[in-house]
Amino acid sequence: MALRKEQIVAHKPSRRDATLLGLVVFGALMAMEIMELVIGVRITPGALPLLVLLVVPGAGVIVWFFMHLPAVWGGEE
Amino acid sequence: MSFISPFRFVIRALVFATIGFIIGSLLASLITGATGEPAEEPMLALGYAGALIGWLLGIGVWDVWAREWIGLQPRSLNAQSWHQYFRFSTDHKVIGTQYLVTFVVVLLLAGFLAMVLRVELAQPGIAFLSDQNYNTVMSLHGIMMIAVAVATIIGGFANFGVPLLIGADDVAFPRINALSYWIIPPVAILLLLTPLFGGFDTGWTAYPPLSTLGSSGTLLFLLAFLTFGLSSILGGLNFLATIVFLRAPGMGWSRMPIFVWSVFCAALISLTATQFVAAGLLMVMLDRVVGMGFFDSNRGGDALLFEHIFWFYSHPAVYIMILPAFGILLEVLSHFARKPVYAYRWVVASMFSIVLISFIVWAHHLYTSGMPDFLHIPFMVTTELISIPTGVIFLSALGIIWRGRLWLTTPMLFALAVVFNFLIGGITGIFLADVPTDIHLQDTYFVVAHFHYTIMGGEIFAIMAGIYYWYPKITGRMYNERQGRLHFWWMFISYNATFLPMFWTGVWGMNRRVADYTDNLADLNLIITGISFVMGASFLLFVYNMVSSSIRGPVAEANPWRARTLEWQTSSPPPEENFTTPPQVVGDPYDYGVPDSVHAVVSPSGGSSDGPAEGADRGA
Amino acid sequence: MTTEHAVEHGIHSPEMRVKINRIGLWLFILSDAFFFVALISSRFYLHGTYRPDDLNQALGLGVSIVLLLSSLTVYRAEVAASYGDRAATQRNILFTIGLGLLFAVGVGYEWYEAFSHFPPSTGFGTIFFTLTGVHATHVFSGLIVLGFLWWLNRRGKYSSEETYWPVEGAAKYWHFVDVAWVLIYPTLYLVS
Repeated sequence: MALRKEQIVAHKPSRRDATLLGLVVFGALMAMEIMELVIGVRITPGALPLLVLLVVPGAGVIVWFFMHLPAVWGGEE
Repeated sequence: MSFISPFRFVIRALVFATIGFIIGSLLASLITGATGEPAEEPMLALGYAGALIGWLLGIGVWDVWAREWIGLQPRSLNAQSWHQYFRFSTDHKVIGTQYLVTFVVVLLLAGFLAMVLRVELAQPGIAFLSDQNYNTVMSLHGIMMIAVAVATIIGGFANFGVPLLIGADDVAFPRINALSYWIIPPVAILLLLTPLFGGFDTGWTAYPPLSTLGSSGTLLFLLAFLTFGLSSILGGLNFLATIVFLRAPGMGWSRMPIFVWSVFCAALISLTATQFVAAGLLMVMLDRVVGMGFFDSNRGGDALLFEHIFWFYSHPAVYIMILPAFGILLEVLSHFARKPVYAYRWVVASMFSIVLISFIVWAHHLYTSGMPDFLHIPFMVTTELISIPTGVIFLSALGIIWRGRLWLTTPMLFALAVVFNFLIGGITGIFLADVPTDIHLQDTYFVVAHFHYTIMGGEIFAIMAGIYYWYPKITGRMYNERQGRLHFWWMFISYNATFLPMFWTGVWGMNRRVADYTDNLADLNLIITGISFVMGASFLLFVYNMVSSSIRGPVAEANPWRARTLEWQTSSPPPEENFTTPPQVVGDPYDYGVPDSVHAVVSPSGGSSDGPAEGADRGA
Repeated sequence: MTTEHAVEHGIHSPEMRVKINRIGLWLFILSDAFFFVALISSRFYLHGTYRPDDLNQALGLGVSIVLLLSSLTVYRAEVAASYGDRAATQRNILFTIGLGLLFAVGVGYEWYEAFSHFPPSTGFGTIFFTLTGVHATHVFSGLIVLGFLWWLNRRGKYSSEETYWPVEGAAKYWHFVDVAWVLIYPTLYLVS
């Protein structure tokens, strides 16, 4: 039975760690968003490459930590 | 009452759909009433959305699914009687049969429309259809046949076959599976209603600005196409999850039957690329109904955008059609030539390369559309590139036939015809991939002949092979072999005689999608029309054989073809749980002629009703 | 014997069911992402990096932060559900619904402003209203799902670790809606 729970939630962190992770990720996303705004307002032509550099890791962080992408293959045997 | 009871879910669904339509259209008239815009098309669009939801709830989504959302216990509507074919049954065999029957009917209807077109084209000038009516008939023929080509294999055969071929008891998401089928009837109803709303003259490609103008029939067509795309996406999702997770113990990736691989690849395309056509159609509808400016250059739009988005789906879509057809082809060839699938691993690799390359060839449909010139060469190169993996699959088919002991039953004859037809279709494709020749041949009957050789000669013939091949498994009865062979020769000869001359009419300048042509082509077109009716009549024999055999045909044994794959190791038709005991896969599916080789151990203790299946595992 | 074995460890076991559902949801998200890709590429195809001057940048940043915050709360709801903490799950689902509604109100106000600056019949307005509208449709469907979750969680449906998959699934979908906005926001507001 214990094993089964392990399989459903692969490498389940402690609840405190999970909460902390959520806050860190959220903080990073906020920082990303504000940097984006600054870039978007200040650098009027040519913001696109910089924005891509910010957005891709930002979206990646959500997909990786919030949506648990690694669990897709991590949960498999 | 007893007459009504089998159809009570359909009746409930129609009632709910009516209610949904009223709610949706009232909502739309409220919105448009506030802004003072014309209300007809918004009412149709929102009313349809309401009707679709009502229809689905009524047919059984409520009982099987939605009860769960509010905390009630869901009810199953599966039953061991023919009544379940008219409600939300989640049995993949029922759904597969529903798909097959529906789309054979659609095939016949669309074929009838083709006959109407041929009558009009028998002589130059306008015979009995107005231009608008000709366009409507042509467009309906197009979109219905596209639906047949996309959904018959991946909806019908894949649904019925894939869980059996991989030794599972159902698909991964049975309810989504049922949903993907029950989305289809509203599509059919919408398309059949289009003539009442003025028809539509865009062809199945729905290019703006024509599709943003014109009668409301166009809107119905756009809605139908969009809904059909949803069904296709859900089907693709389901098969991917099924194939990844539900293979029988021991069935590693390299032991999967080739048909399953082909469905996997087609499902990848239909899962992803279909969203593009959904987006494109949504944009057309927004332009049309709300007055946005995606494709209207007066409003900052660009009509060429649609062609890019549309073909980003619709070119990969031809591989949704043809890849599973190749799967059936190799499957049937292997079983009836009593030889393994030649170069199995290369074929699988080729299928995946086709999936990848199919996403970067779309603009070869745009050579004459005003796309920047520098894009011509890259897309010409990628298009030619995709013929390499296709050629590998073709060589694999030849490799199976080579020195095999061919058992020329009806399915095998159809499979051999696929090889022949696709060769012609493939070679003529080169002229359309190359920019210099394509600029001359674009929008002529050369194109018509080419894609009828690939899609009809390749895929519809493969569908026929599949129907005859799995007929005993699906119905539990054997079709009439003599009628089957007669149907084959009848259809094969008349098909070639119909479409081969179109290459010449095309080269001589006959335009597609036009009701008229120049007088010098009159004789050839009269011949084509005459033979096309011979071909149309061959389908009557097919339908007669299918219907009469399902009633009076001899009872089929579990494995009439002595084939090795798993679906033949259970009774015909299979029990509801497919296998009385879960099969254990221990060897390759195609090792014909290898002594003592066994594909799967299916415990006979389960006692299938049509006799034991052991011994059938052995090669011929 | 064999059948029992199959139910215990095969495709009908609870953990296998969760795995299948998880992959199914990921495939759905992958598919849906293509829809957004099509719309976002249309923006660049039609208008390059053109940006009108009368976009409300403060409001754009505001709704973005609200949506990111809702991602945090739905993440916390998921964590709470995975520990069987019903009260915390309930609370965080409610927070998420509230933030989602706030986001919708923000977008609604933007629409109201945008109607006067670049109505949907103009070039940029077409893209703006379509992208935000399609995204808002996703937000609304997510809110409906969260509403059902709230109702069912109140009745104790997701109280144990084995049964909380619907919370995980809804959270994933909600995060995906957030990811879509992370891409849409610079596409509409910041690119120039």
